[in-house]
Amino acid sequence: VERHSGFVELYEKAFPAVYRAAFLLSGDGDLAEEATQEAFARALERWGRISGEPWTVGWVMTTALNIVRRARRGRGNTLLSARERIEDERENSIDLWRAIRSLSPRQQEAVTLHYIADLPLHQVAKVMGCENGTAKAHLWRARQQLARHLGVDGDA
Amino acid sequence: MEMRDEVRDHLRESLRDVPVPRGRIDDVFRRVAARQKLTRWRRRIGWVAVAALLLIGITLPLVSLLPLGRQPGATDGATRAGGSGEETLSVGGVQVSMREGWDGRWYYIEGYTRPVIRLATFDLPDADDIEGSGARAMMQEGDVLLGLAEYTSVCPCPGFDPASLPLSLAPEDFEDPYDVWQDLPPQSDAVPPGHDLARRTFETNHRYFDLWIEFGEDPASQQAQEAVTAVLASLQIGDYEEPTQPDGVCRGEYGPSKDPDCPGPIWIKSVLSEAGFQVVDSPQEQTLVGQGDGARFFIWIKEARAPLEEYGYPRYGVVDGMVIYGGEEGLIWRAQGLDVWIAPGPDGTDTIPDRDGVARLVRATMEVSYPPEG
Repeated sequence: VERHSGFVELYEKAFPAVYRAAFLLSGDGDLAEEATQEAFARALERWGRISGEPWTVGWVMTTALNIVRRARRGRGNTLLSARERIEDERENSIDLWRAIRSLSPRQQEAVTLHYIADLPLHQVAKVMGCENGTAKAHLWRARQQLARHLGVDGDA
Repeated sequence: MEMRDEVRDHLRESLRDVPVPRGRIDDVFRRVAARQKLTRWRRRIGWVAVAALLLIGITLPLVSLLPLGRQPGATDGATRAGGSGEETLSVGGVQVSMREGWDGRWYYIEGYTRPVIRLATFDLPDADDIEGSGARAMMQEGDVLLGLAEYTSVCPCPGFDPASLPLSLAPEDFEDPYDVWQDLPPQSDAVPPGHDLARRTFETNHRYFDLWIEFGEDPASQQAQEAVTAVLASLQIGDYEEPTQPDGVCRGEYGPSKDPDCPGPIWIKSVLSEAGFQVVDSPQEQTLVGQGDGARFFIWIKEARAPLEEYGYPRYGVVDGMVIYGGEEGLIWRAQGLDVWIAPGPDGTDTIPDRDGVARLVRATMEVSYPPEG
């Protein structure tokens, strides 16, 4: 396989963030790693089109999240049981995982892109394929919901 | 500390303890290499299969599946096809012919600036959402629902591969239909497990489309796939042309700035004027923008549906007994059977009006009669 210029650097730099985003959504280390590897593989296949863009990391991250969702759809609730078994001593992680699971897919996307990938709002909108205002609205609603689930105080 | 910071800090703090495995970039390259090899083999097998079919003398049936690319002269506008013979749906520079018994419609859907096309083997609903919920509810086993949504207003986008027409279904369209650069509707949750889905995002003639085909069975039957292939073969995409609006029809749920004769935008403009704001040009095709007192904001209305409390927004304030919900990133209140929404304008630094301005707007929405006279 031809090693495309810049791909290795992106992988090394972005792997932890993409993995964490996938873990945040799945609560499953194995699935998160598989989704991360697969997302980077798909990015490599499309490297000519997506390299050098400010949203490249966002693309990889969104792809990883889609893979997690698709896997979860296939597995049903077995994942929840596994997660609860593994993480029953880490109440905070479970709370966080449940809070994230409570968001719509678009809200999950907005949160991970903005807070985990550190993309500014206009790039979040670009990756999500929507207007700035729509991305803002997703993010705002997600924050509201997360705040309620996590018991975080504050006003909008 | 603002709530957004607390949420972000909480997320990051929780993730800090998550152990990250070592990256295995060799595995990534191996995956890509394996798939390239598989693709080569599939192509070879495909050619062998085609050659075999030709040799056993079924050329004629294959040709009969190709009523391709015929374009009976069709006028732009909403066209419902179906019943006897092949009819053409034509809107916004897109033309597609339907087989007998198919129905075709186009919709203006909230948030989409261009018509969304739907074709199906059953009667489509008069109105629908972007996920096709209305149509899906009417699907039976063996039915096919095809959707074509345009994303030209937000693209060029990654994952929208250049395509030349005619299109045809390919095995990879089924393999991972959600492998698109964004979670485009219909999202995975919307497609029930018993349905198969094929999808392709593509670019042609400098226009960007998401094509999705939902089958009322999983896996899709060969017969259904052939029917779709025949329909796709007739798809033609030219330059965009603004559809002609049927008399009395006001598109979309927003107050569209380009439809000055519709009651929504007329009313919104009157409300803005009454409240002391100006109407300014909007880079979006549909939503009006108000400006004044240092604020610039989108404003739109929708028919009131669920109780406002159900949206889950915090209470922002009360004006003359009217409760307003939301915050700095958007407000909603209800007046005269309408949900009135405002949100910061198109520029990242835009803001909604201050509380005095919001109060003036809310009062204006109660005082200016809807629908407007004349």
